[in-house]
Amino acid sequence: MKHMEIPAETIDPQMVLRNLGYGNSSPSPEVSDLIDNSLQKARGIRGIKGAYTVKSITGRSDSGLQTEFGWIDSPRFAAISKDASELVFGLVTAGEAVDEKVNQSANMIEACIWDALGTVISEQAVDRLLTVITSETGEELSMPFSPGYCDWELPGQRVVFNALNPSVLGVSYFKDSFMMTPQKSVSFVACMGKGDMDKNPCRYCNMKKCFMRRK
Amino acid sequence: MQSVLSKFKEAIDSRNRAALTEMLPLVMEENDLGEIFSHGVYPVLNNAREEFQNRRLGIPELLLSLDLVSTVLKAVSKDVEIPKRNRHIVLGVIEGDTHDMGKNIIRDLYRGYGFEVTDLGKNVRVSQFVDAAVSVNADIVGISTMMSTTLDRLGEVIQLLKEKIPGVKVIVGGAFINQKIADGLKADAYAEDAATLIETTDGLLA
Repeated sequence: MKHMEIPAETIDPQMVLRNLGYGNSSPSPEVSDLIDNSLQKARGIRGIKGAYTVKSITGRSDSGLQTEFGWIDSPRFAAISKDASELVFGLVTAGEAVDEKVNQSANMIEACIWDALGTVISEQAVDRLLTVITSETGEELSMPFSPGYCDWELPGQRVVFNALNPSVLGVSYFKDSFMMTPQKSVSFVACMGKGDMDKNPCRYCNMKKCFMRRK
Repeated sequence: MQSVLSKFKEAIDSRNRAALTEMLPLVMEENDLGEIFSHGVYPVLNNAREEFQNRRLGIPELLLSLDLVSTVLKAVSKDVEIPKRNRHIVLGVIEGDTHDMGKNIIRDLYRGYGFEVTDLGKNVRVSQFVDAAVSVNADIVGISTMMSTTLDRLGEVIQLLKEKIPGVKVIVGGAFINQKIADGLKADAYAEDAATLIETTDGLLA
């Protein structure tokens, strides 16, 4: 498993604003100050980390994939993996500092801003990790696919955690709910292969208006 | 000359806490609670929800408005019974999901409009929803989820609620939910967002 620190300096303010519900509008001056202040603090946060490991597919069917760490029970992921040579298991976390900021916020507005910042930090950390993996392996990757989304049930978390050593990142999950702590963490699996492989699991899903739908 | 109620309304609309604090005793002196809420607080909140729906306002501004309304509620409830709707809503995020920011916004919105709210928090078991709804004789149970994989449990809780409390209405909402899914789950309504929630709720209770 390879792991790395991910800098927070590059947090995209536009992504934060979109997460807070702004379309083409801008925050009021009062809110803008709050966001800028939190953004500045967030850029100083350390402890944003990512890790990945590349593993073989040991078996496959239309309903899922077999790995040495367990069965990935997802017909949609199985569908895009047909041309994959290997799988990448990945995990990123925005770290405990963001959870603390959300929980210790003086009011809902602050909590909401920090929640949005945590979401953006973890989403950008996934993008950063995928870029690193592509660069280090020289292979193409599919879009990441996470337990609890699409047709992969949350207990699939076990497979990702078995494949990685999440304690290095300070991430664990609750055995009953499979939710992770720190909360702003993202676990995923992605297909690895050559450039012409299928990359988007949403092609196999009929939920056209799903908010997670990727083009 | 601008009336006190109009200035009060403007203070909430512009999310100006200092002006609101200044106007609050004056508006309470000159107006009864019905007028304060029906001509002052609710039109401004309705407008804020519409602006939010059209993405001219973000969540923080909506929360700021709700926070000011909460200030008004606290101030007026010191002396008199505030205008409650006498309707009880149980809210929670279904088991298997800990994303509770949306649910918290909905909670504050409901309270701002005078509903009684029991907030069960996040990762709430099916039995907790049912027990709480029975215990407070809920009019409405609102269930939120951001995860597609919690849909079976949503169906389970809706079925159990309908069995235990005939007449209870269930509203579901969250990123993965849409009208079709809500219909499939046999929910009474789908809460698309905070902007339309009050009308959806009032429609169910009519």
